[in-house]
Amino acid sequence: MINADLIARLTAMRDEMTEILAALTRDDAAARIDAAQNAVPETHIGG
Amino acid sequence: MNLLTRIIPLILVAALTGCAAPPVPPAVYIEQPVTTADVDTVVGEYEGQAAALATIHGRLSDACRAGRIPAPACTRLDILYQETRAAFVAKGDAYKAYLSDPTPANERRYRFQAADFANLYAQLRELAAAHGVEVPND
Repeated sequence: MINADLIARLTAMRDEMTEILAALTRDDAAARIDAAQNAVPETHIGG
Repeated sequence: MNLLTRIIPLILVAALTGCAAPPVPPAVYIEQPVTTADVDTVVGEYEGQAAALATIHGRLSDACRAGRIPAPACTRLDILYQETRAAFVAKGDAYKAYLSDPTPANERRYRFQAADFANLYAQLRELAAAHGVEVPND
């Protein structure tokens, strides 16, 4: 039988992993957005 | 009363009601909320737009340098391109802000910047195409 303490610890671990995954997703998205912005030339047309 | 006289009215009623075309839903566009689940889709679309903008920039520059597009039109295209690029950057920055702090205010700001960019981007594509420049898909 699984005790309440183990369930609480597993739940906390799950929440922590979810937060880490969300942070990684944000960081990855920000890096990709930065790269996309840098890929669009700033120079003038024909310049 | 024979069987046909009973069935025919039923067929007529069915034809007039049950077989009628289903009602057409109203053409209302409902925006889907932005969630972290669609981050990859949003960023992927953004990357596609970046590649398309860079290609349009290159093709317009080539055409202007070669004199295939008159100088006044090149000036107009350059102004529109710079506005579009600025809106593109603002859209990306707004999305990053929303991801860091997903408040309704940040979501509204992102949607506003996305709409602003979409408007300018469509104008740029249209004007480039009008001058014979092939515009890529996103």
